[in-house]
Amino acid sequence: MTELRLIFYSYGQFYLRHKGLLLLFMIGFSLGSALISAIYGLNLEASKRYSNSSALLENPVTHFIKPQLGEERIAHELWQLLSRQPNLNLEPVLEGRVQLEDRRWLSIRGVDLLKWVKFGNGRSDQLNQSQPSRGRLFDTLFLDPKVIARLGEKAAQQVVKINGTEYQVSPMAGLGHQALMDISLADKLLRANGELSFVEVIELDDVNAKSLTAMLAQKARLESANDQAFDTLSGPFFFNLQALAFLGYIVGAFLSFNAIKLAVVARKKLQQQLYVLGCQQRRLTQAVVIELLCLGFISAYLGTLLGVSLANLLVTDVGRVLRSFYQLDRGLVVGFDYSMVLLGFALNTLVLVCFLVSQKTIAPKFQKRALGGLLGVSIAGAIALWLNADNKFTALMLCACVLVVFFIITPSILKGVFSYLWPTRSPLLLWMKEDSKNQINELLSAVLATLMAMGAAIGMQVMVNSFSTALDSHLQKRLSADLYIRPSVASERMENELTRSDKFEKVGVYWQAQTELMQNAERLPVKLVSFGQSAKYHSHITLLGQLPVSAVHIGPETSGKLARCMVNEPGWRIYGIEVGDIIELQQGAKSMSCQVSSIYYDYGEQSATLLVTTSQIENAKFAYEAFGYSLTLKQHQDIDAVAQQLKDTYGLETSQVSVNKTFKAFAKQLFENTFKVTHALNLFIMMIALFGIWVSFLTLGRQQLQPMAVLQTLGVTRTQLFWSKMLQACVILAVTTLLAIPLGILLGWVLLTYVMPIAFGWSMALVLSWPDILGFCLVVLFLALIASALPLIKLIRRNVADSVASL
Amino acid sequence: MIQLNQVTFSRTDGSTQRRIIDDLSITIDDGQQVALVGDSGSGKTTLLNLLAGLLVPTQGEITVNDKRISHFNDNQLALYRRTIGVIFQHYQLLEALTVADNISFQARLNGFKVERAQLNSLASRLGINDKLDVLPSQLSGGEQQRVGIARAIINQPKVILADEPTGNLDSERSQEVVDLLQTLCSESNINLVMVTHSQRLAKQFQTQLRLKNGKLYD
Amino acid sequence: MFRHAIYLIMICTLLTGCSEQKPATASQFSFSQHIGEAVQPGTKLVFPEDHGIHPEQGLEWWYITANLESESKQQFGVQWTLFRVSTPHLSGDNNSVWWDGQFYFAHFALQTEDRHEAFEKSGRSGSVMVNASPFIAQIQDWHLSSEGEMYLPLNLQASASGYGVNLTLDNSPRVLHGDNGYSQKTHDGHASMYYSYPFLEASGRVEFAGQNFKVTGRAWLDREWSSAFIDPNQAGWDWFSLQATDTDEGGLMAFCIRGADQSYEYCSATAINAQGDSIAYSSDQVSLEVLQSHKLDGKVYPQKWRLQVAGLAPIDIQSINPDSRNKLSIPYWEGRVKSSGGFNATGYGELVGY
Repeated sequence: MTELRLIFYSYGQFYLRHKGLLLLFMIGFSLGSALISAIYGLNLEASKRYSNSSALLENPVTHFIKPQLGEERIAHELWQLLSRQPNLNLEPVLEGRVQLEDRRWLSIRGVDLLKWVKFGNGRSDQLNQSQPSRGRLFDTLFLDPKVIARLGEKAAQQVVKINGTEYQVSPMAGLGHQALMDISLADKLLRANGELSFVEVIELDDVNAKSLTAMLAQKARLESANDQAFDTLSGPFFFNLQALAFLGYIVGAFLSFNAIKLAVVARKKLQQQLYVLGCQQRRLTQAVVIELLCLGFISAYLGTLLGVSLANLLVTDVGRVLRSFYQLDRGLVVGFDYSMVLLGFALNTLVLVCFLVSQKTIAPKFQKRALGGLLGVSIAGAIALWLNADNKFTALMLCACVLVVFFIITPSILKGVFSYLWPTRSPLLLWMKEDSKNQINELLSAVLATLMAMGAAIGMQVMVNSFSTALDSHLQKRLSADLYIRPSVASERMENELTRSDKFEKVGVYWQAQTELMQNAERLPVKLVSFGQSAKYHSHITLLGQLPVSAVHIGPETSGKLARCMVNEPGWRIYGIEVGDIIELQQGAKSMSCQVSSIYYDYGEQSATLLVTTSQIENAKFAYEAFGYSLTLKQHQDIDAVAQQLKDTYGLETSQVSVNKTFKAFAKQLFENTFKVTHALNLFIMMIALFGIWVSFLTLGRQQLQPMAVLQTLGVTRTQLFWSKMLQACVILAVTTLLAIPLGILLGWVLLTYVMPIAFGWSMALVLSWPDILGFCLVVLFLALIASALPLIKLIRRNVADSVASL
Repeated sequence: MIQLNQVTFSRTDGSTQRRIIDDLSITIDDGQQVALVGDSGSGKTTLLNLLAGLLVPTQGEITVNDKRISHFNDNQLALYRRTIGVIFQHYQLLEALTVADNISFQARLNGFKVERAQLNSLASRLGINDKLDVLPSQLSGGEQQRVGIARAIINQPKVILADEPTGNLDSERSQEVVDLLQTLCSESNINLVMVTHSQRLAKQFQTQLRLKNGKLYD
Repeated sequence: MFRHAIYLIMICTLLTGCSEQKPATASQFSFSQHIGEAVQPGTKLVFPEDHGIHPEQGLEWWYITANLESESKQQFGVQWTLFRVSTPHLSGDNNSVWWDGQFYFAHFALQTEDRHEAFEKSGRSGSVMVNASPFIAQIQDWHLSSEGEMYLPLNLQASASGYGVNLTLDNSPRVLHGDNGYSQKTHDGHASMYYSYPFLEASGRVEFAGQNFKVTGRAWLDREWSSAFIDPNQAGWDWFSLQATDTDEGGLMAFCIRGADQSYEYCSATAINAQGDSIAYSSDQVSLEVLQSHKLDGKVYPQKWRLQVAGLAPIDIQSINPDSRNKLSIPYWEGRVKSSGGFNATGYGELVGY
């Protein structure tokens, strides 16, 4: 024990005198955990969101009772019936929109706030005491402070006017964009007469779920919380984050590896001296391991704090995306969770184990064979997966194989570059060339981290670019009308007037109906969409195969011909609705058949959607929602004048009339927002990699002291020395960067060819933006060179005599 | 010729200023071989570093072969160092380069073309001609020191400064190395200034300068 | 993003994340509440209307207690109460289908010799229904309701986690306490409207700890409403309902209000004959004395009393299951009692405010 204590004391003193080293080590060790915590936290928060019911009580919601398809609400009588069933724990919810005094709309949600009223063995407070400063609980709107800020001055003064009546406003964080209130108030504001939007069922087990389903029969639907739209729609978004998390951790692991190396190498001399003085080798090893485990835990904790902060910074962007894109119901806040610390610690320990293993001297022959074997397996695996990958997991494995191949070949390529004959006689350059072969080994972990981070970033860039290009041309065609109007009520009268108007070449509609398809005994929700009565109104749709849309593809049933409909690409790829299938769509007791005639591109949409004519929907008597109209103007019409006229004629607000351009810009903006978080995380990963470069060069610096001192003594000037070392760094980093380009493109290709279609149902062409890729590489190279230069400058500035003396 | 004129070198240790070289004036003629002796801390290595242009005197002037090196800037000193030979106690070879490359490095830096024949001849002289293509880590101490000597000599310097070149060698090897050094220097009329602890080796030199507390001591 | 990066670097936060906060409202219920209008002496009770709610008064309940026995002679005690409390200050509009200004909660307790289990529910308009005729007092899946067009027989159903009752209650006269139902509670005039069905014959099923029993016995239904039962500075009450072992002897209801020092301040009793005729005893004719107490979790609860009613020999009342505490949001003691001496009976006791 004394021995261990003394060793630890020595280590402690060492760290006291090398505070910078300790700091570097802790930062390096923490960053990996920080990244994994950030993403893990975002994922965890989103999946936990249903653990609280809408009334913010800690009741895990397991099911929802929703209105029948095509209906908006559940009748009050059904609620009364349900509330009388035994073994059911229910929460009623009523949602809708109300218009404020300033004509803006506010989303509201009504729940049973009576649960907040505590009834206990009271003493002083009397039930019938009014609280004028707080207002009546059931007449109060609870709003997120951000929403209050958005609503402006009056709301900040704690009052909001709806339908001529003023209501108290009370701030409450974490509510998202909806105003929370008692259900009686929501009922009054929405004039719902006791109807409900849905009912939350708490902790319903399977047995009771079955009997409840039977009881609901045709009156309503019972859905599991796990099947909510949010989960499926947010899939691609969180998939992005998950992939990045994995990536980020590996980059962070390299950094941790570097950090451990730094700490161990800096103490080599101390270790030797302790050994000479009589400490046992196993005790020395024990001490290092214990120290690194403890510091690993502390770093995991610090890393988690950092990660949670990062996640909360990003979550505002995430939340905005999810809210606008997927109508997420409440704001996300990432909380500190000890599972993140444990994860960080487990992974730090794994890195430590890898480090210890790497310290064991393995015979070069064996090493070569092992690497060769791994390379072979990776290449074989990549080929096999390339031919057979058909799900998300195998697609990601393909990415992993590609990465492993590059990991193995990069050091060899780097060494090869320095092995070739260089066209120079300069002794200094020739020294640098020979010296580099040793340097590469030392810099390997930082180099591979950079390679990976860059490859991932380029891959993401390729994917995003390709997606953006595909989306652009998709939108170009899809949003080809001149004006889009979205009135509060899209009536038949309005449609007729617009059609008869001499201003418009074409008046399209946008109808949507919710239906279901029975597939393998499972109910598949299918959206039914229509833009008009015939193929002419669907000419803006792009079919796979680029054929123009005609009556062959879409149309109602005629004598001898079945009704025809078109399925979107995700419906085909993910849900298996094939061309030629005759499908039966159901909405409650009503149904409709059609034959799938073709597949169309539908970027951004993940659920199965079918395009039909409006008459098909009408014939089936399906309940549908008419959202608005798309208007194509005749020649020589002034778009602004027409837009103004429409506003005046139909009393439309500016937000209800969209010009093509703004609509497209809005759609693109949503898309960009989705990937903003990915970009931010990519950047963070890149910065971590650059930090790793800096640390590596710093570690290297000490080892370079000897040859640098000798060279300076032999007459090499400081400037010559600096530039030759910089050239060395430049060649290493430039080769890494150049290798990152094909790696990135390959990863991008895998993402586009496999992951996109398998996971989301979208296929698109690979588009490379060389200026972007090369620009990115140059910036990273430049930053990496700065990172490598900083430690070098410090070393070179040293007094030569001192360097010589310390040899 | 090497001339030191009232040279002082001070170093600040914490709050005190220590004079490591104290008002030293020496003249070493062309081709002269000098042994620099003295106890530890007497300033021998500092003096050598001053002569090598690795340090700049606090006061006074140093002139080597008509170059006033005490007034040189950093770059000029580096260029100056290319024209002299320095031999270290711990050999200080460039680990990444082969023996042949190590030997020819400084000369090539200086702009000389080193012919293989020249290299072979010198290496034979020093008994390391069979080691030209190996790395320094594969040599013994004595062999490494001989590589250091070859590196210094092949440069055709006017001055060779040797700091305890035998410090890491046994007495037999030490004698060999010093004899070799002196012979080579004599042949080419090279000034040799060698720091040594060994009285026996010092006596081999025609001139012995004894330093004590930074001053010459007779 | 770079701004974010700077914040990251500059700020080391210990963000543990905001948890969603429910606002804590200060409302709390107590038995010394004053809500609504006081009941007036001389009020005539009208049926079936008065089986329903009286929104002018803030407090009301429908109260069943029963002593039951299974075929295997196992004894059970049942208590089921639906409470109504007016909470007008929660909303300015009491005409919504979701809110009528009334907050409802129900207690259901089952006991044996040595076990006592209690459960509660709360609700509001939409999940609660009280109707005078046909009579139903329902809160979610618990209810007390008329089985047919007439008030009696009643059906009581309640269940929770392996405990439940399904009883038919019939054949009891209706008794108006106090002065035709106007029952004074304190010296300074706190009063309630109070009537009972004291001799209900109970039959049905009891589920106790997952086991089912067929049971028969006797039940007592109390109906009471008021704006306040006691003064704010009074602690609570001890209340007993006793059904004579010999059914021809009828029943007895007695209660005493306790002051802040837990001493009995104001007592009242009603003697009921088998036909349902009642004699009201005023405070100076009734007294109660605690003979024995015990401690339950540091609180002293009486377990044996002596009740003196003018004209009757002293009656000794004893609790059958000494720990009959309802450990609910509003805690109180409610359990079976038996009496001897001047009146041999079994019944229920209620101790509030300890």
